[in-house]
Amino acid sequence: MKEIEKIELNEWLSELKAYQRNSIEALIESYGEEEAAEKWITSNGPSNNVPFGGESNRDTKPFFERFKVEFGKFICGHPDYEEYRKKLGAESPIIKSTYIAIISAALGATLGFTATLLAPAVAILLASVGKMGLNAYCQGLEI
Amino acid sequence: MNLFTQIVVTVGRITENGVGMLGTGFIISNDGKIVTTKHVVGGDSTRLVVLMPHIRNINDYQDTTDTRCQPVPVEVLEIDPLKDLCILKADIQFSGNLPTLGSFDNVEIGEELGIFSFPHCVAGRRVLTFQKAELGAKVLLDSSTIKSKHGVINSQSRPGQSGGLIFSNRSQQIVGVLIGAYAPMQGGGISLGGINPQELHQTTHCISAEYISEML
Repeated sequence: MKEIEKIELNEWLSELKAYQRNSIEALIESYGEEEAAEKWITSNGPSNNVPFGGESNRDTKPFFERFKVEFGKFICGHPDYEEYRKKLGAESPIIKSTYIAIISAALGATLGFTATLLAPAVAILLASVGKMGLNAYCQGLEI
Repeated sequence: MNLFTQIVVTVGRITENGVGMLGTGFIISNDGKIVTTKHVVGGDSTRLVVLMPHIRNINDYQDTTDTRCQPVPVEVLEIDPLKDLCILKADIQFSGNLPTLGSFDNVEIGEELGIFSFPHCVAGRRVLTFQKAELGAKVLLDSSTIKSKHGVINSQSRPGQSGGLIFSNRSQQIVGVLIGAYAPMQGGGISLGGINPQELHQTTHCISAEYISEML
């Protein structure tokens, strides 16, 4: 897991689909990295638009907090994600797309959200861990 | 016209009581990719289905008491929450010729467009409905500073129509996807019998179909 410290944000973002990457880069420019992640996964589409379908809207702010908690548990060694981490352990050197896909799938399974929605936010948070260093990121997290 | 009876589908979720219908979608590729909106499926990709066509001819009478359906499981392939688009994938093959994707760029204000969707399907009514409306305006709508192209069509819509197909008969292209209606969010507003009066007007927002291409 320490290997991710060597990977920069643009390298993680390069693994996303073009439609995701373009929007995420614009969001980061406007809001910074963590807020960009939050804007992406909690967005309900254009403002001042009433949708005509689907189930009632979720309370999206608490969802992002839960997302960050589960991401921290994954990265910082919580036993809940041991099986998923074993799959990552087999990857050396790191295959970035596999990291994003496996972590997104794991968190999606826990949170009940589709992995493809979470992937851009996972990429941003992985870059944050790399920037801070794994030990510093995990220090103080209550997992 | 009858092609649309085969490619416009209802999106739903399996529940304890059967299938809860969520909105409209349409087949966009021969290998079973389906376009709808993100808000139709929400973030939850579990137990999602599409209901296979129940009529072959648009002129058929659709029996509103017939609750039988043929659900096919779908997975979520792509989601763009900012543009409110979603690509689903069903394990089906469509052998016919599908309309290509266009854009509102090539539609003139005043051009008549066709709308295929399932109004009121969220209330349990499954009726594929065709409407016609002119393109009244082209607008850029904002989502967290990201702007995207939309058409404002001169027609009122109701729940269940999100994900509906907007078709230009002139160009024979899909030019948009129905996403909702303008209603100012500030001020709280009021709800009368579960209906927000601010959404009751004769226009509807549709996102330009060009954004679908980059998700396929």
